[in-house]
Amino acid sequence: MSDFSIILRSLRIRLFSTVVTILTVAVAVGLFLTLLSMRESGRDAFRRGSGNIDLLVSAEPGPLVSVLNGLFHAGAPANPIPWARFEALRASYPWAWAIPLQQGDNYRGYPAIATTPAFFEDYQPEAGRPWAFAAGRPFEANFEIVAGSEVAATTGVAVGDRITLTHGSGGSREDHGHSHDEYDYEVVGILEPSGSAHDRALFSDLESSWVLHAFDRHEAEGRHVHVGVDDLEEVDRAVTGILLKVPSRGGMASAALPQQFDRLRREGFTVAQPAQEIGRLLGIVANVDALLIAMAAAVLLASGIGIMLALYNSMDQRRRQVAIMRVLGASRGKVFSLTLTESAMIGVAGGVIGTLFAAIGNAATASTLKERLGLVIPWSLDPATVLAVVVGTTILAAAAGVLPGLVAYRTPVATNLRPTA
Amino acid sequence: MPTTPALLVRDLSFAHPGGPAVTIDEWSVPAGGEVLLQGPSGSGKSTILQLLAGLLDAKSGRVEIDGEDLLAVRGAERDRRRGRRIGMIFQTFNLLSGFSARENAMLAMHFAGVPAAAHRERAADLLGSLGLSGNELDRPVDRLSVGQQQRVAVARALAAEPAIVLADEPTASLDPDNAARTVDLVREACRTRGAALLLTSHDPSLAERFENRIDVSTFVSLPSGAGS
Ligand SMILES: Nc1ncnc2c1ncn2[C@@H]1O[C@H](COP(=O)(O)OP(=O)(O)OP(=O)(O)O)[C@@H](O)[C@H]1O
Ligand SMILES: [Mg+2]
Repeated sequence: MSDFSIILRSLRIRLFSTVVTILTVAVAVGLFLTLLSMRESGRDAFRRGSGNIDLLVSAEPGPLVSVLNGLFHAGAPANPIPWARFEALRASYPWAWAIPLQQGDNYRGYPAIATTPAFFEDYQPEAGRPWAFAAGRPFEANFEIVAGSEVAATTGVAVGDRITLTHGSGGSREDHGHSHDEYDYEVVGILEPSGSAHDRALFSDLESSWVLHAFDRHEAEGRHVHVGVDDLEEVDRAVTGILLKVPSRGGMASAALPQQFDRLRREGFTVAQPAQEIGRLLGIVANVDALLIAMAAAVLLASGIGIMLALYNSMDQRRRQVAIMRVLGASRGKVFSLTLTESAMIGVAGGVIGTLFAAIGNAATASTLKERLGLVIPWSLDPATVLAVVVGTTILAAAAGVLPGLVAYRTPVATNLRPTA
Repeated sequence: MPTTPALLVRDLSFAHPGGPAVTIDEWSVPAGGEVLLQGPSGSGKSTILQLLAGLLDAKSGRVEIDGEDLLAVRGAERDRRRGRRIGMIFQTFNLLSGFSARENAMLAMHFAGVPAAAHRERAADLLGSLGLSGNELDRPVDRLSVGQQQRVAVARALAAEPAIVLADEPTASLDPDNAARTVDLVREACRTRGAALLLTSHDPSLAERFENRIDVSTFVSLPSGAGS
C-alpha cells in the first residue's frame, strides 16, 4: 500500500459521491475553458479580419464604422471616393501597395466586393497567411467572380456557375434590393476558409461593378440602354474604401505611418488603423467578457465548495477510519495530508475531464460549423492557459480539502475506537 | 532478566476528567510474555491500553516498549513508534471497511514504515498462516465472515512485527467455547512471531487459561466522592 493507493481506495469506497463531485468540477472546468476559448476565438476573428493592412481610407463618417463596414461587412459603405482622388492618393506616397474596394452589391445577401487582383496577392486577411483557393482561380476578366468559403458552403455556388448580383442594401437576406439580371457573372474560383469575415463575401473586378451602377444611373434617368465598359463615365468610377500598406523595413512599420495618417486626415479622408479600431471595439465588449468569465469562475468556485461538502459530509464515516489509521501508526499530519490530497485529486480528475469535455465539445461544434457554414472557429486556447486552469482547479480543490483535513487532524483516537451499538 | 521487557511502565499517572484515576508505579511484561488484565465493565481496561499505546496523554511517567519510551516523544514520532512496536486488536475488530483483508494488513505495514515491495507477500503469508487464502485475501473485509474478520484483525496487529500486542476484549461478544478458541488463536499467533500479549477481559472464565493475571483495580482508583 502507498498513500496514493489508500486515497484511490478511499475515493472508490464513496464511488457515487466521488463520480458526482468529479463531474461537477469537470462541467465547471469545461464551461470555464469554453468561455475562455470563445472569447479568444472572437478576438482572433476580429484580429484576422484586419490582416496585414496599415490603414483603411474611406469617406465613412467614422473610423470604427469604416472598419466594421469595410473589413467585416457589417453593412455596405455608402460614401464614394471618386477614382481620380484614389489615383492621386496612390501617387502621393510610395506605398507598398494600395488596393481599392467598391462595395454595395450582394449575392443572396452576401456582400460582393469589387477590387483589383492585387487583393489576393498583397492583402492577407490574417497576416502571414496568404489566400488559398479551394477551387478555380482569381478573377482576371470582367464579370468573373470568386466566392468566399462560407458563401460556397451555404449557397452551393461552384466554379462554372453563372450568378447575378443584386444592388441595394435590403435589410434581410430575402429583401435584397433589385436584381441585375441583365448582367451575369461567371464563378471562376472558390476560396479556402480564412477565418475572417471575407469568407462571407464574393470578389470581382471594379469595372463590372461600375457598369452595374452606370446601368442603374441610366435607368433612373429614364434611359433603357445597354451599358458596356466603354460607356463608363467619370461619375461611374468610384470606390468606397482603400487598403494601404506603408513600406516596412525589417518587419517594423516605418515611422512614416503616423505622418501619412495625419496627412490623409487633413485631406478630408476618414483614416482608420484597423488594429487600433478593433482594440477599441474589444475594449467595449471586454466588460461583457469579464462578466461571463466571472460567472464561469463563480461556477468553478461553487464546484470547489461541492468538493468540500462531499468530503465534509463523509467525515462522520471517516472518523473511525482516521482513528484506526492513527492506531496503525499514521500521524495527525499524515491523515490531514491524505484528506487534502484526496480533495486535490478530485480537482485534478475534474480538471482533466473538464478539459476533455471542452475539447470534444469544441471539436464537435467546430466541425459542424465548418461543414455547414464554412466558418472556422479553431480551439484557440494555448496549452499554458489550459494547464493554468487545471492547476488552478487543483489548488482550489486542495483548498477545499483544508477544512475536512483539519477535522481529520483533530479527530480524537480513543473515543472513535469504541464499539458502536 | 538480561533481555529487554516487551513492556515496562514506571510512575504512570492519568485521569479522565471526572473519571477514575490510573496510577501505575511499576509494571512489566517480559518479551514474549502473556498477561491477562482483568476487570469488570467500566473498570478502566480500555483506558489503560490506550495509555500504554500513547493514544491518551499521561500526566507523567514512562511507557517503554521494547526499551523505547513511547511517552518521551510526541506527535508523528510517537505515532511511528506505536505503529512499529505495538499491535492492537479490538472487540469489534475496527477493520478498515471497504479495504480488503490484504489491504488491512498492508496498511499496518505502510504506516509502520515497512518497505512497500514486501507488503503483498508478507500480508499473504500472514493471512495464510491464520487460515485465509485465495480470493478471501482480496475481498473487502465487510464481506468476510465474523470469524474471518477476527483473523484479519489478528493478522493486522502482527503485520509490523510488534514487540507487544494489546488485545482489548477480543472475546467480549463470543460464547465461552468461541472465546476460548479466539484466545488460543491470538496467543498462538503472538507466540509464533515472538510478540508479547496483553489481553483484557471482564470474563472470569478466561482466568484459568493465563498464568499471569492482574486485576485492573491494582491500577485504578475511582474518583473521590464516587465511593471505593
Ligand atoms: N473520555 C472520557 N472522559 C471521562 N470519562 C471517561 C472517558 N472515557 C472513559 N471514561 C470513564 O472511564 C471509566 C473506564 O472506562 P473504560 O472504557 O476504560 O472501561 P473498560 O474497562 O474498558 O470497560 P468495558 O469493559 O465496558 O469496555 C468508565 O467509567 C468511563 O465512563
Ligand atoms: Mg473497554
